[in-house]
Amino acid sequence: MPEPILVAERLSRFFGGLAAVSEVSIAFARGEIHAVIGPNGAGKSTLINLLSGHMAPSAGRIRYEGRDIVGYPPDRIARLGIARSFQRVNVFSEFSVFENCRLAAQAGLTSSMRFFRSALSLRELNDTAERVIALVGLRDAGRLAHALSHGERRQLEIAMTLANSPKVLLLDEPLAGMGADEAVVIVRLIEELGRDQAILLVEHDMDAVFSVARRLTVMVNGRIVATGNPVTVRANPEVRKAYLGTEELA
Amino acid sequence: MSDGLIFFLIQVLNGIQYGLLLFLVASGLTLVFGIIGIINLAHGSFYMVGAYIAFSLVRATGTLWLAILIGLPLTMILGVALELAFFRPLYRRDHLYQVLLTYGLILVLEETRSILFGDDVHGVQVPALFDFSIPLSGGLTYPVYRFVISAICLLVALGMYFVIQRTRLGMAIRAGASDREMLQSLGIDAGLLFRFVLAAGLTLAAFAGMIAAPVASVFPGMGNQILIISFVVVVIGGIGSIKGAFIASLLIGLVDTFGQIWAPQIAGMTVYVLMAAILLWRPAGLFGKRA
Amino acid sequence: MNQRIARASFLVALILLALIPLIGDKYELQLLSKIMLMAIFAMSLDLLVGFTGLVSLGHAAFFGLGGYLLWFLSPQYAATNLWLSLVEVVAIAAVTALLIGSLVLRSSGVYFIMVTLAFAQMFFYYTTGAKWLGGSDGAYIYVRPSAAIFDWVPFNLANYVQFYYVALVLMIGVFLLLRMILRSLFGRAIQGVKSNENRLRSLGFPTFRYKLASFVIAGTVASLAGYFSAAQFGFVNPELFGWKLSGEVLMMVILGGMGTLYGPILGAFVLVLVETELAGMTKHWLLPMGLFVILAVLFLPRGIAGMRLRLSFGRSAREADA
Repeated sequence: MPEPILVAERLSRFFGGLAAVSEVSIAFARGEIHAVIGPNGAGKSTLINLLSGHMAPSAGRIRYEGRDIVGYPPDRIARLGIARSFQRVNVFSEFSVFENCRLAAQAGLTSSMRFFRSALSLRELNDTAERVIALVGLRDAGRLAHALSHGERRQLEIAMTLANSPKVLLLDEPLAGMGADEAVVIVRLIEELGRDQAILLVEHDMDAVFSVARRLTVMVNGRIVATGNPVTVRANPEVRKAYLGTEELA
Repeated sequence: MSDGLIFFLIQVLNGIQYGLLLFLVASGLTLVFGIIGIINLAHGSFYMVGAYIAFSLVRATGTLWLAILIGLPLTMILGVALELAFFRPLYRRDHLYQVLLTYGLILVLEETRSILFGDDVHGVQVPALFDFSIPLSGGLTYPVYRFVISAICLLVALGMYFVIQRTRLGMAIRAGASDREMLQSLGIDAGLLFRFVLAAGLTLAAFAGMIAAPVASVFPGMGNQILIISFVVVVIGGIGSIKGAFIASLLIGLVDTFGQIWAPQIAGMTVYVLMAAILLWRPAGLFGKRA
Repeated sequence: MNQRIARASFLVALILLALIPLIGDKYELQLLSKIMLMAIFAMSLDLLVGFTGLVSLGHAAFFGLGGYLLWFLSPQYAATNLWLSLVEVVAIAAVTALLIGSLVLRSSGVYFIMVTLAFAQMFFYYTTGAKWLGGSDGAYIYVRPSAAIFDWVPFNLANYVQFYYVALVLMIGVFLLLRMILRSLFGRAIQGVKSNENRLRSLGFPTFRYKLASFVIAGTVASLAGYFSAAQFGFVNPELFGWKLSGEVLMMVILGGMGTLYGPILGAFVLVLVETELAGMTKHWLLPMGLFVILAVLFLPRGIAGMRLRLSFGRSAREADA
């Protein structure tokens, strides 16, 4: 496995007495799609929140490019090159598709404390916005975000995540609620991105997971039950036991 | 006991009495905001409504108790009417519109009061039963009626505690403060609950105005005055927290009373400085939940 | 009503305003001047409320600050220099807003509303109790600021017609300035804060500093409005910090249509004119005023300007804004 860029060591997060995530050690490397699956409540979203800085861990370490990033606020982590998408679509509803992506691209500027020039005059931002919109396959960028279908809003969500060429992508159920056609585009996109970036993919769509994932980790009740090559993990009896009654791994 | 100590004691009693009265008003406000989620600026106006109702009914019937007996149902009816007419459409709207609409309501209630009762300051006679003072050493005395006010407020507070902690209604109220869905699973009609909470809150404020009338006098700006302070109580205590409202009310009652004595020039400011200080330490109030 | 019609009507209205001094009398011109200064005050609040999503119930703190600063900077029987004092007012207001903003912006939602109110109340009570400031009676500015630049005096603020034009130019200037700011990178960022602050932060924006900058700009512009309001009648009192004024200007923003910049101007005109009309009719004009506000909230959810006017930013992929 290539040198990991994002490493979590014995990460734990407690809510009162409940351990949402417990002693999770996991690593992500560029050029690799690492899928994390598990039943609902397994702690997958919490894990993403911990890695993206939206939640502070109760214990454990997180290292990015060798640097300890526990305690960094989400905006700082994003600027370091770790981007995340959200499970519940989280876009700027009153803005157009284009503006959503342009604003996302703007986040990559050193500073937005500029008061005089029109934002639209910065062509690089406009070009980036158009590029990511095309990448995810969205049309008619002038539409307002709240007018999009659910699947299209997911595409927008992903486009925004890509705007600043992140090195790490934390994707929280990017395919949820998508129609079959839209999903195919996104799966191909993820595969493409996976060649260069480090991707953490939390998903329930098993076909997608098995078609793109290079590594597979299974979480149950906040702990890692198995990790490694997808084929091996799939055959693991522990994993089969954990999934019995919740989902078929087929 | 020395005179200085007696004087200090009197101020403490005053502070507590003021705080308890404040609690009556602020508890309604924090419930309405915590459970229903609406900001009601006209809450203070009901304090005024209570006081003026007491004033006019005492003039008519001669006793405060009769005035309260008649006045309370009247206020409840008014509260329910307002809820149906104005608050219902506001439940889903942005806080901003609630602020605006209830601000308009303040204007309407104030002017109606001005038309009906004029703008003079009025007094209400202390009920004869309690119209005497307890002598303390050094020639100082303390009016018994103030004790009565404190006692009544404490009773109400205890009653509230009982209802909220020990009854099904109270469970609904606590649930409503944090979780709408739980209400539904408890099988409680949210609309009815809201109407009850709103009417009860407003009636509490009016009741406070009624019993306070003999000591606080009845004047045009009283609604606005107590409104702002009540908001400060709610914010310091934490929105939706009765416990917070109780502690904050007493805190403010004491701070305000002693502020007036020790630093009269900036007396009005002390409460706000306190609020700002607390919010800087705990941005969501003492017992409020962080958004 | 689309962008073009709105823009056209706005221009027509401006032209009318410019021509009114030909037919208006002193009372009318002074009233309109007052309205235009309130419009500036309202636009500054709109920046905060309508564009950044920060609802302040204490914006009068800065309005009053501007007014009292004029009094403070004016020698008792002579005029202070307009230009120099303006620079000082802007600097002091900005620093004050920076200090207050860094404290209050730590709270959000209703707590923010209340803590902004608290600061305005602190100013109110301080000025009420302070003898050197005139207490609740207020203080007088006997001589208007002088607009002299060395020997040249471009205009005289004591002349009510010239004051009117100064107010008009100021209102247009603030409108253009705010519009430019709103189209800039900064402007986009703060609108992102209003729309979805959490997402904005997740994208990499350190949102606190943008909210603070918005607060500072809004406070500074409000102080300018307060300065000129005090200059208009030469009088300041603690009511300039009052919560009623904070509530009134908030009303202007919401009823006029927040998040549109035209809205607050419209709101200022409508509200003050309705107030003046009603006050002329009955002593108890606050009653119909209150009813007006209630009905407006119930039936005009987006305010007057917001009714058909949509936020135009980014409607089409590359469309320039209005």
